[in-house]
Amino acid sequence: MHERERHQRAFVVFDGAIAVPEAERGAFVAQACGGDADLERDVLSLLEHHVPESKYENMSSQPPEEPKDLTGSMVGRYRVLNLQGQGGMAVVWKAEDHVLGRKVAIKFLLPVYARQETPRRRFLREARAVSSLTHPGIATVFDVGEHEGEPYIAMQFVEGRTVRQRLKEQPYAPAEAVRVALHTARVLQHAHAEGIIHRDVSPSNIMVTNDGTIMVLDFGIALRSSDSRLSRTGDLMGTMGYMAPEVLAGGSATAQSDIYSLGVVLYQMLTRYVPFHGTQTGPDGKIPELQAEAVSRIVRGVPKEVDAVLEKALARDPTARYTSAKKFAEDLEGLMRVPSLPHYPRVASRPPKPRPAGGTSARIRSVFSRLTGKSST
Amino acid sequence: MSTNPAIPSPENAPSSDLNALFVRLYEDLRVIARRHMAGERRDHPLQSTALVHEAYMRLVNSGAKVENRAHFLRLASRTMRRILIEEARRRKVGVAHITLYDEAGVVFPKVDMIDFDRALTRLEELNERQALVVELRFLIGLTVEEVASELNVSERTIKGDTAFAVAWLRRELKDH
Repeated sequence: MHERERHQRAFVVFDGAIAVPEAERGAFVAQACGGDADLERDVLSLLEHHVPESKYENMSSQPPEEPKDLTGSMVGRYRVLNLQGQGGMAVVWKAEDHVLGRKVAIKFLLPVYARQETPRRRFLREARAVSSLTHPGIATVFDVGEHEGEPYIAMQFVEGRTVRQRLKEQPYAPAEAVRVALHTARVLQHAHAEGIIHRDVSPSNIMVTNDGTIMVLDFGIALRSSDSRLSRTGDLMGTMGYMAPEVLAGGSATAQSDIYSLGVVLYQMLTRYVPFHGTQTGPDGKIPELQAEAVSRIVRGVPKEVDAVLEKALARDPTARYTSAKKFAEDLEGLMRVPSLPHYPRVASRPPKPRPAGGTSARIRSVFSRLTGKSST
Repeated sequence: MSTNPAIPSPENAPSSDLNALFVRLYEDLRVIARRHMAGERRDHPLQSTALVHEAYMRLVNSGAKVENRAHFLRLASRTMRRILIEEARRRKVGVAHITLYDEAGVVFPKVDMIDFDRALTRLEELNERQALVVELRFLIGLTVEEVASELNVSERTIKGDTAFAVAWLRRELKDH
């Protein structure tokens, strides 16, 4: 009974919250929950998973087409061993190089993209660009080819655990989180210097391999969501939390937007939460003006120096961010030397509460009048 | 009109009334089966026609009474999930998947059927109508309008239930 009642209360607040502009939802929920912290947390986390109906209108009403099972077949000089994984854009097979006898990863675009000119062209163009990168943190591209009309990339096979998997299993020690971010920033620095932007830095694309190397996956191969119909809800939302405000607003990805995304990943490694719960574009397509809550306020023992670095990486205005991944890496290196940076796992005492970037009291007043006045539907 | 008709079996459905009902139910089953197979590979050993037959026989044998169409559809959809899960276990080839979509688009691409079934059952304990709305819209393929008329509530209510149920399920399923 009690559980049903809580569920019902969460529903009522949620239902009211999705009717107000996204920027005001946090304040609305706080108000509507009337100090019930559990309820508030519950509703906020549900809002984070909210998908407005309008978000899936453009999607295909056909179920996604299954990639063909290639197990056992030959793709070029590679014998496919088994399916390694499937992402929002591509499917990766583990295979064996017939000639050299080594394991490789073979990546195909999902059928729906393989038929479209733009994703296809970009897939190949980027593969060629990435093949020019040589860095221990980037999987080496061996070969680009076509199999039954579908383009594929053969690359170094890596095995390990992504930050996403790791976050599900156990929290990071702050020192470890900073170290992962530092190595990622170094990889980005290398790529940016070659003019290659990652575009999709997220916990699923950063991997610690079995031998401890930190690698950045899907380098430069990820497409921007606006390029195609890749917006299958799960993936879109999964990555959206990491996209820089200017990219969400339709701008192109830059070195600065990669830096922002890495900032979000670092924030999440430190707190388990992305800094802005469920608040992406508002109904008007604008990004709400929000400011991330300082990590030191919600994770005990994290020194204030961390806040300063994150603030600079997560600046809404790209020109206020680190001017390069190199600068970001240098500051992260500085953090590694802060003696009070904990070397044991810490967890956040509660989810962060992003603040409106200006005029807090005015906003709360307006939401309050909405709540007490007539219903917004 | 009898309020609780048993599901007619091919043998005991000779009268034209029952025959019409049978044809209609069968058509519904086909649609549900196709949707349940949408997440599976094309070479899945169990074809959707076989799934329809198997589900139909189970429904008949269970002697379940159906209260209305919505209830029947849910029963059928649930039975099919059971069959697909059992089948996946028998084949020992990992898991069965299911894709949830409606006329507007894909809501859950390819989720683990066992996880999904468990989450939906849990949602049903918390709010029966929300679970039913998900089932009718995304697994059975009724439109918002149809769901509203089956359940005798407004379209606005269905949309509200959907938004909450989808967020709830997404959160529930993310941790798996």
